[in-house]
Amino acid sequence: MERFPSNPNLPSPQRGNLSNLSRFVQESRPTWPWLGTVFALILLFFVIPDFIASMRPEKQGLIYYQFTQIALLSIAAAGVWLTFYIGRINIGQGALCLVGAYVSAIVQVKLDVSYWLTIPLAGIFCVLVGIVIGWPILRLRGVYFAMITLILTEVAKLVVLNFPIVTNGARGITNIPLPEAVTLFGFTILPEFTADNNRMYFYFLSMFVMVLTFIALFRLVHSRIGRLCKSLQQNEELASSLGVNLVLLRLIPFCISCFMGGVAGALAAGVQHNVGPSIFTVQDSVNYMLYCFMGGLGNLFGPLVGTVILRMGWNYLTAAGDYQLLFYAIALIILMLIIPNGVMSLSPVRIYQRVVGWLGNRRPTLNTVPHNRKS
Amino acid sequence: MTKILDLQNIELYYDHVYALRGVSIEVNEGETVALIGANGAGKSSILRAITGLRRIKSGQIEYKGEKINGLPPERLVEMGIAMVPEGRRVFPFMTVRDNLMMGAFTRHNKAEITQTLEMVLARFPRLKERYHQAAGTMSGGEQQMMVIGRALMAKPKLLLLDEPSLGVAPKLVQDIARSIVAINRDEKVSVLLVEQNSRMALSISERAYVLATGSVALAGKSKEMRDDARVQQLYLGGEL
Amino acid sequence: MEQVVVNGLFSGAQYSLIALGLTLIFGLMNVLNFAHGQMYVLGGLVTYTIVTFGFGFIPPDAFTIFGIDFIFPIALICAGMVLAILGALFEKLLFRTVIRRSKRDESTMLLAAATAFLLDASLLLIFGEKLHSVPDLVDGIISTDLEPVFPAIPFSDSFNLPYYKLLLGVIAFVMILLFVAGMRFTRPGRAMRALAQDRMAAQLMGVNVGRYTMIGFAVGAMLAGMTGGLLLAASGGIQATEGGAKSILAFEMIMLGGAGVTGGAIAGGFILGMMQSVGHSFLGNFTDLVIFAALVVFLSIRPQGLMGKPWG
Repeated sequence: MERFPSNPNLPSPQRGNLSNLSRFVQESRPTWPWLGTVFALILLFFVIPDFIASMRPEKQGLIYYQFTQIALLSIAAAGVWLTFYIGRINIGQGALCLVGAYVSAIVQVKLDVSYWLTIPLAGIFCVLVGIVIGWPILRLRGVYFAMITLILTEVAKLVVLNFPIVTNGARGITNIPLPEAVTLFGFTILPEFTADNNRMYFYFLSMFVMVLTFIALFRLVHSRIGRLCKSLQQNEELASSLGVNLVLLRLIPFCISCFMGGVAGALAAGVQHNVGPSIFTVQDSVNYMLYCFMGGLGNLFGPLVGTVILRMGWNYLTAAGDYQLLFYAIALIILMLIIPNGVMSLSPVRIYQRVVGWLGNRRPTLNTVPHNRKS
Repeated sequence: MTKILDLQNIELYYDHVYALRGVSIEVNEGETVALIGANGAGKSSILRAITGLRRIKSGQIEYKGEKINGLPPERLVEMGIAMVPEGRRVFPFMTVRDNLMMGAFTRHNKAEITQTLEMVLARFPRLKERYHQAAGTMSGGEQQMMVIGRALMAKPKLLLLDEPSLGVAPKLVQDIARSIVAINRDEKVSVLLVEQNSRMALSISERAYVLATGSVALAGKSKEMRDDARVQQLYLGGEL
Repeated sequence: MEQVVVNGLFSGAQYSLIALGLTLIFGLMNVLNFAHGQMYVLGGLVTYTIVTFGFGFIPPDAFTIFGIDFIFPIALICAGMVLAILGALFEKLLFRTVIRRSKRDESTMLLAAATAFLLDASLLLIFGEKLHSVPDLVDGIISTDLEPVFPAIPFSDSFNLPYYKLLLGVIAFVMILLFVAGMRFTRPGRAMRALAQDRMAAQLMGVNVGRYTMIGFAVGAMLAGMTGGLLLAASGGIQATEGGAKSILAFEMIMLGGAGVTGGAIAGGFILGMMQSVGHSFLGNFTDLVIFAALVVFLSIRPQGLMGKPWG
């Protein structure tokens, strides 16, 4: 008997075994979050820095910077993922990042507040913005929400340009100081960032925030609110018939998403020492969405995986010079054609099945989902 | 009698869940056949399989002795199979006239189309009153008449009806049943009728199949089935 | 005031054409074409290239017959054709595959964004950041100094309308009319309307879904391209980088009018054109901000836009 037929419509008994297995994999996931966290912390705080330390000193700064960027982008992308969790496609995260960055910069430069305080401050301000904007627009669905959030990024830029008294207009704010040390009872809790070490310190800071973000996201998704959100994603009318306060339920994840955007923006302002109206553009907003899609919308770690893959790819393509965007776009299109449901949608079981089927029959079946879903 | 439609051992899956398991059904020329059964028994899946909206996994579908599974829906319309989908599916922003003309999309002879249009309007005078009204603004019963008329515009030999009584006022159900009978008689169209309303379906058909969980549980003359206790039992989800 | 109204009508006609293409693609395939603005720019730059350089061996002034220069209409038609072919290829090779394979409708958004990046990058590589412009089509100007047009309206100020703008406006109006008529009275038009309203029912009527979806995408892209050509001649010129901004404008229009509805796209285009025209004379730089705020307020009252189906 052929064990792994390449026919996409497997008879139910065999299919049953396979789906049982994949269900087992999914259900077993909540049992190892602590293990995963510890593993991630070791990797991010010991293995990678150790690896970077072995490089040439003049290169280290750049590598730290690139990793920092990945962390920042994945924090923002996690927010986008969370809005998708309530069934909304958010292409406006760049706007929130821009707001966060400006709040951090303005409060530091004009009010002389410590950088450390501006990070939560930026997040909270973005939550307020999220409430004001989210209240009306969260009623929209599907492409309408996508379109209006896309416009939002452009609008954020216009706001910055049109209120130069606060934002310095097109010139931006260029003299953001490096974070100073924080001491408590004589102990130095947070060290002073200097011109020499700030790349590395910012790396640790943003990685720490990133780990926190994903732990929070994990907790949220597995909480009562998370399950309600998931029901919202599948059928809004049904969820509303259960007596759920829809407006609030949509607003809470959206505001958390805005908070993440704001924090990412504030971190970026610190890392780059300056902000301008074009540090977060429409293209960034679109990119966050791409990271989520490419990683896979069905999985919590989709935005992280997507950010790592696409951003690293983008960094490598710097070698292509003027052709960078062109190659990036072509790579995206090819990836999209091969894995339209994102990297995390690939299950090891199915790949194994596919490979064995291919070796056996020489006829690859790329797709096991039947057609005509829409009918 | 010659068979106009012959389904042999149809198997159909949605994702990994089967919807039809070894269904065999036939419709003779000039006959009205009813397919009845509870929700989710697979009635609509049979029509989807015939019209090519869903690909079947195994089995054979023959129309006038010719294998038609795998053919795209537009070919089937040209061959003379028209379907009235479940839930009416009018083109809501088009006028009644445009909706009807869409039914004749695959036909090219203008004079013949006009002739069919007059026949349809004579059969459903209500549509004449609403001729220039957007179809989405009509009542459920009127919409149902229009989609039956729209299917007739293709001048079919075989008419597939999916739940024509669903969401229609009880008074209008009778009208619709009567017009199905008339169409079958006057236009020489064979009819395959899928219905939840078994009383209506059994009263206007010659033969009937009762479906339960994806396969044919009972088959026979409609007249005899009307009094068969087993039919009701199947409806309540029982086993034979 | 007259000047403001005329400007509004003029840009409204052009905007409507952009929005029509976008809404057609959306209505047919449920795809939000992010690359629409880039297609518009490509159309404009193809027109520019032909008007400026001709067709390689044929110089541009070879098309002057009886003293009338036909190079611009020829270039416009060529731009339309190039874009139609590009659109058809995009649909057939990319979107169709992804729609078939992916679990979610939204995955096409990613693909659309990627095609927008692709066009953006290619355009920038080929044409650079320079502003490309063509000479005025015809000379002459209508002006209130010569002849008062609406003397009854108060706030009447000086009013100028160059002949070439008038000509382009007329072309845009004619194109809108042709499009609407085509959708109503031709066979492909009816097929596409039916497909947009109920895909499955249209399929059951014998509409070849694959073919007409491809035609729809091609027509949408063609409209974007030809509008690019028109606006190239009407405005000071076109830049390879302005595609994204134009896409955003087009999104505003179809949200205003309602996505997937022809009438909505036209209404949205004209309303936005008028709002911009009025806004620029009263609010200056704040116009776009005010328009966005108004749009948010409007959509919170009426989420489906002026005449859209609920939830697109």
